[in-house]
Amino acid sequence: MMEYDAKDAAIDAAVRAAAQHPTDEGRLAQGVLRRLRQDDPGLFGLFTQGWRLAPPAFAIVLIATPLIIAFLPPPSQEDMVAGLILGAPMFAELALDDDEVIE
Amino acid sequence: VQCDEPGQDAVHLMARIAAGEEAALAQLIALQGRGVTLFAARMLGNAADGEDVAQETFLRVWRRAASYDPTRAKVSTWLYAIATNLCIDRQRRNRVWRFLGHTDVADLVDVLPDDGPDATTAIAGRQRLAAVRAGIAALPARQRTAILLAAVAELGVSEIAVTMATSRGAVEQLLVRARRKLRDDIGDDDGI
Repeated sequence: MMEYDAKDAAIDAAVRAAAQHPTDEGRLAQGVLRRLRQDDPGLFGLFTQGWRLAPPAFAIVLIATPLIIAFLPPPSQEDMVAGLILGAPMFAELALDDDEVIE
Repeated sequence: VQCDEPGQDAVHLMARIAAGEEAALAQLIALQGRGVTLFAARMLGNAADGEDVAQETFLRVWRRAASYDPTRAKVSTWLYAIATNLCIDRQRRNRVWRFLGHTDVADLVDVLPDDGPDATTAIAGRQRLAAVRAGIAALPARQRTAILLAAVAELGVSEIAVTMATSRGAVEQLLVRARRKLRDDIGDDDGI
């Protein structure tokens, strides 16, 4: 059996004093509840339990990825898509053809 | 730090938490939050990490409340076991960060005991606190865990043994060594 004397008590008191700093239990509770709601498993509970990824972000990724794959332009349209992305006018070639006809 | 809960009240709180009652979790935090925060902060030497670990501890309590068995351990013992494991994980992660060159800038706010307006006394108090904190930080991890669980969380030897998953004898040895080392580090001139 361990002996516990006054010197041990004094050391424990010193450690206890050294450990003190202001704490805010209200803020701690708010932080816990906020994280708890973020971690709410919701629809994707199996995947998000314990993760810090918000379910909406996860859902967007799940839905957007198949859509992108499904509507990815075939190689023949790649130039047109690239043109759109770079800000080139839509149907520029067609418009040019019309002008030529008018002339 | 008050860590001992009226046993049945805490067990009742755990049952309510297991039933999904957030108010019960808030009550448990009001009861044990300060102790867990101070323990984690001193284990990690960093107030911000301490609060983060305390939050994570209570999140785990929320998720695992249904698995709490009152016949095996008191609520506080179970709580500090979770906090201790999280602190160990965080220490490992911090070691990796330090290895990669990341340095922590956050540190504990030094709070002096309110022992008078005398500047000399205040400086002496600050130096003494700094010495004790340096002594705690220099302890081997298991000795530091044991002494903080004893002094800050105010757990008994048996409870510390459960928390650290070791024997009573091992805990007694850890406490004896930790107290002896702290006494040597702080010195007799501090009245210890």
